[in-house]
Amino acid sequence: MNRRELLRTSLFGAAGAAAAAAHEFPANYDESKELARAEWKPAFFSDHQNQTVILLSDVIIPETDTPGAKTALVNRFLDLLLAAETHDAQQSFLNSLAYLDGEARSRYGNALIYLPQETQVELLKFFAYPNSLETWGEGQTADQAGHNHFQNIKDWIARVFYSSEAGMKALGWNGEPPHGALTGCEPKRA
Amino acid sequence: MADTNLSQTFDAIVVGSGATGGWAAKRLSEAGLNVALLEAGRNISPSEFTEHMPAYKLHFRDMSPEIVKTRPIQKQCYACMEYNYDWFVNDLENPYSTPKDKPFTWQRLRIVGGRTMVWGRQSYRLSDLDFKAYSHDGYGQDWPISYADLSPYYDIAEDYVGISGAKENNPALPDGHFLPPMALTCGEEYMRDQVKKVFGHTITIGRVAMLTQNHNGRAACHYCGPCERGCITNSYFSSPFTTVKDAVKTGKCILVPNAVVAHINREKGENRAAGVTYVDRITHQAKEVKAKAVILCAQALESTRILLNSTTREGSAGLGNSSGLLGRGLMDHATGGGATGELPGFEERPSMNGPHRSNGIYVIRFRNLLTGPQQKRFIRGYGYQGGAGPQFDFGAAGFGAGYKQAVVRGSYGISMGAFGESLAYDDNFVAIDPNLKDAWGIPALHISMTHRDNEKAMQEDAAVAAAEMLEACGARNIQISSRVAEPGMAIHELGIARMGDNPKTSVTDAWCQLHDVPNVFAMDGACFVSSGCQNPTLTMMAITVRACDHLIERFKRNEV
Repeated sequence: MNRRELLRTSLFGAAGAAAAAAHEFPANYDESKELARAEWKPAFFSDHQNQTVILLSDVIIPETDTPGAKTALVNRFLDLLLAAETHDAQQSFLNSLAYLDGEARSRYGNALIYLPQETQVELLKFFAYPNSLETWGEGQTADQAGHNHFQNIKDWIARVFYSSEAGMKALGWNGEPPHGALTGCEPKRA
Repeated sequence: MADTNLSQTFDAIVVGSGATGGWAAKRLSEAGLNVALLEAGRNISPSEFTEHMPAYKLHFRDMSPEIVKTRPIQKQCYACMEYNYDWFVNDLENPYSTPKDKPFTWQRLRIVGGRTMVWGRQSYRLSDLDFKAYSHDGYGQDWPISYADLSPYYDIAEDYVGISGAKENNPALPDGHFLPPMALTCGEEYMRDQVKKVFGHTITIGRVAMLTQNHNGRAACHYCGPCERGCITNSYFSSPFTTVKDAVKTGKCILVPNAVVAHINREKGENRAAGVTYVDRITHQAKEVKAKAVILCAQALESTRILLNSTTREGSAGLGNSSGLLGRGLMDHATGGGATGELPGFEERPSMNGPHRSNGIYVIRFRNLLTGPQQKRFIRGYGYQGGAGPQFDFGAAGFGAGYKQAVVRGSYGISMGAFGESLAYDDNFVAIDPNLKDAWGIPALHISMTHRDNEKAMQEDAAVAAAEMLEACGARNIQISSRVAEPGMAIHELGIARMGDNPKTSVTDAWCQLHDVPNVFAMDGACFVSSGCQNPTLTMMAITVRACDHLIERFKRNEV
């Protein structure tokens, strides 16, 4: 390339709009507050899908001595994230959701959110433990497809929950930046 | 800089402000030389650091699907995150090509400091097993320097950078000037003892450019964890806040960010460089800078690209290419071989609150040493990085309260992943792609590299050996992997302007000076003759210091 070409490039270059500024987050930057706003509406999920996600998140990660996925608004962040995701990722999630809801309809005659809580748990157990005593004992074949769909939904919910403030605290986070002194192997091996 | 005067003739232009460029600028300016330090990226500010910011505050909690739109290649780097992806190049503006069946992942930053902002910080010396590998097994070439030549410069680099580590008195991995080592976990202590007892191999704590005590005005690490998001206490080594800062402080070095160097200019009718032409990243204007010496520290691929885009006195493309070897012999450590498992019997629980030691263990090379058995299926060797410790068990089975408890209880993981030597094959090469330019109109690279049978055999051996060691530690659920990752994934690009004494078989001399052009230097990974299996940055820094000291002597004798 000669100088002339370079000068041409400099005349016609368009990418120069790229900023030279630092990439900073303002003080007190916290996007999670957005999710909690009162007038929130799903952008990606239908109302029924949204209700189903809320239910599944609550059964998979319930409130115990620490808050659960429902309080952490896992459905709202999932809605935000999936809206921006690739078509494949969106479809994969919706397929798994539809599969579990479809199984609820075919086995119990109603969508997941309308079933009694014991029935919801019973159905999820069936998919969560495809090779449990229940299924083996009765000679049933493990439902691998159902297990995979359950895992898919569970993985998304767990990822989103444990990246929330409530989820981090459920892991024992004290709210401070992590730090400490490396003390090595103390106490010794149990 | 307000008073930037780029019309003067500098003593030296340094291209690139990362690990080696920072050192070159520091060394030369502290010796009183006038230096222009050109960096293709923008400046960086500590106000961009986010190491203490929890992910939930980010719009996509560090799961952003947006990054991939501008950084489909960079996204493959473990360190390219929603927090800092802006430091990485925009792949759309910075294209390169590969043959369809030979993917290469080129991970890079354009910002003051370059990859030192996000590097893995592992810092190891090479030994004569590496420098004289040809003499040992007959493959490739020996380096023109030996360990004794480089050892004093390793000392200088280590004393300044601050490398924590433990002495092991192992000839394959020479000891250095270390700050106190970081502590091993209980599992790692057990692993170290067990592996020594059963196999005789040495496990040591990673030697790492992180401060375990206050050092040279920088504070000791507080173990928050995610170094690649910046460090407000500068406890890991990054050039903007150390070498580059020192260089600018001398008053002799002008840092010019947003300067995308296109090519080296020649002194009319002479076999000497007159300086460089760069394109301003923002305005796209081409500018010239003049200097008595041009020092390329842009990383192996970029430095070689600049040479290939420059013309010789005879008008042919490729400055310094009379050997025909410029661009040939690209190396990147082979990875992918290793094993993971769970180590029963250790009760420690994972913690969100730290300390989080962003360092692991290192298993020192034990294959094909100077003495002892030699492998039949491959030459050279590998080391492992790994570790053992408690981790949250997000993959626990089931759901409900039991699942929550299982996640918090965690599991005690153990893992080892190999970094294997990558041989220099002359047909692993880079060239200018005649049909491809970057956003600044500068011809882009075509990169053609594959790992071969030797690398594959080595990773297979590394996978089996790792599984054997884990088994000897009583690990359960051992998973083996031996698939060689695609070239570029180790982010250790080396070679393509190799050093040597013979101008017919090498591109630079032992002080990184082009054989063909007396005032042009390639002082980064480009000059490596062989790759060893050690993480190369410390060696690059030592080579740069040595080459700069030689250049300073030549300046004193008025030979430049």
